[in-house]
Amino acid sequence: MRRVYKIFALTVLTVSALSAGQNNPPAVNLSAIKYRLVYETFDNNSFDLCIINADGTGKKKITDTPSIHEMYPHVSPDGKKISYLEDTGSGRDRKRDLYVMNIDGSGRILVSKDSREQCWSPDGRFIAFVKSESSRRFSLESWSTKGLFFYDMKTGNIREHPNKTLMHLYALCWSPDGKYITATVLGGMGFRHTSIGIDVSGSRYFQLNVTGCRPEFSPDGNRIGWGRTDREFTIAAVNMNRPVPVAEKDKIPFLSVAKGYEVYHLDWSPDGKYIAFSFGPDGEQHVGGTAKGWNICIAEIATGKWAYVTTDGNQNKEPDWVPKGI
Amino acid sequence: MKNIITAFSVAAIILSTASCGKKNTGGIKNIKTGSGIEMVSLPGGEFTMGDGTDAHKVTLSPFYIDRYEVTQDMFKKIELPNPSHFKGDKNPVEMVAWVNAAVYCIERSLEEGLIPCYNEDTWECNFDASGYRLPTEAEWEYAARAGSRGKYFFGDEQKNLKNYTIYSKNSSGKTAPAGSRKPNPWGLYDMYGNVAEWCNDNFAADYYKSSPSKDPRGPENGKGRVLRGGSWNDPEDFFSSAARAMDASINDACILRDTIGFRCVRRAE
Repeated sequence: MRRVYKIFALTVLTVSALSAGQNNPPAVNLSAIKYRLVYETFDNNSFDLCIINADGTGKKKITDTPSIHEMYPHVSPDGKKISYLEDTGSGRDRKRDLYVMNIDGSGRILVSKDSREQCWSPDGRFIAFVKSESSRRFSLESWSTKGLFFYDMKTGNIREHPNKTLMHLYALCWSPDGKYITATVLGGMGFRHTSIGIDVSGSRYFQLNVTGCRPEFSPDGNRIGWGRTDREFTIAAVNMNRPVPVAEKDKIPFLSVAKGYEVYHLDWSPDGKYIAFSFGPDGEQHVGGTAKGWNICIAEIATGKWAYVTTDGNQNKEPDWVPKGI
Repeated sequence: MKNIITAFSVAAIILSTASCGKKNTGGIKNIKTGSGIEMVSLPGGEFTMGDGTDAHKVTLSPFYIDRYEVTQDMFKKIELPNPSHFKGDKNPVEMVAWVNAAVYCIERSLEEGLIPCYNEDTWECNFDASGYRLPTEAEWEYAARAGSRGKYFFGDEQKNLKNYTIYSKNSSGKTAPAGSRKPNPWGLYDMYGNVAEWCNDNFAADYYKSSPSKDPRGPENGKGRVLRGGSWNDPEDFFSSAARAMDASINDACILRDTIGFRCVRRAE
């Protein structure tokens, strides 16, 4: 365990280096967190979705389908719905479709075929998503996408973003003010690998000045967190109205793990005090990837202290907070 | 054996000016695949792999190897997503994880009715399958040397590197269309530079100490895969036929590099 201390917004943060198999008592008091999380877990030869209290109690399966993978859950802002991805078939003939259902797993509705990497608009009216790029064969690559689309929960209609050149986007996140969608792009639109902001209503896109991938807004929209590499998270103040939304001086290393382990899928708690994330030995972080030994963890923003939420190591990934408290 | 290598070299010089499909002496000939991709058929043989204290004799079975690095146009033709940073149909594909290079091999094999070499669950390679795969490290070096025994396939004079290689001094910070410089004596382009090339082998720095002398296929395990040939971003001192490198960006989108591509091989019929 090594600790690095950094100043962030006049608060001293502890940056903890995690290592697998640690049996330390929880450094952060999870029972004080009155929220639940949904996440994907591998059980009975397929990925299913679970809901769990932040303190690790009350685990319940939302889906239980041996021949279908349910993954990448995202809870609606009102906490009543879950959008998620459903994979069927295998190998090159595998299919990935976007669905929405009630938080209890009932009432599944197909949103769009061959679609992925979705996120909710802050008012819960729309689900933004991208479509799979290749019609020849399935690709597990997160970046293998084209276009940006919006599903209207009220009408069921789908419309494409005005900028038709968008491609190779993944890890969409809608800004709390509703004006922007952030995404990571790989080998598209002239970029090698970077994270960008996209005007929801216009065709403009711009770089965030974030190296790494999967940026996520804090609930108030004033901060952003992302994976600088597959072993470390960074947090920074963000202002999408500035020419450079994330300033170098504001980038704070928040959490890092030892070589041989990875952290991914950062997600801010509804009160902005914590992040949930996936942690485990070197594995495949992408949706549908094999990540044996991975668990869901929570870290406290103010202290950097962290704790396991799950401990079974069943490829637990993609945590997403249920916005409404228990 | 020295005579055989010399014979290869002579044949290769002839090959470099030969028209496509024309047979050459020494068993080296240019071929076109079922989907029209240019390859070179290399005879099996013995060569000295590595240099200095690493030098050791290796014997290889005959195989076919792509004349050019796999281009973005080749990727597009089989409808695979093109991750390349430097877009251009004739430019080599880059930003390719090892796994995606293997996927290309599978799709190209299926396109031509061949049996894929790679198992998509384990990524193990079936060397007996008829389809395309990435070259073993030994195959790559054998092809790069083209019968030569010096530091480079064109001799030992570094000043001549610019004639055969897209590297940091002449790349303008990006890839160039495949085949922009002179080929090696066996007619293979960009064996040095443009993009570094994935090999099938796992990487182990000390592998040569225990590797078999006949058709070595790399250690069973490794943290990364072998890279050979160097890229547009490497300085001149990096290059030689024996230079080894590795990379761990086997399937991690966060660390893909615009300096890495590949070319395919398949077993000779």
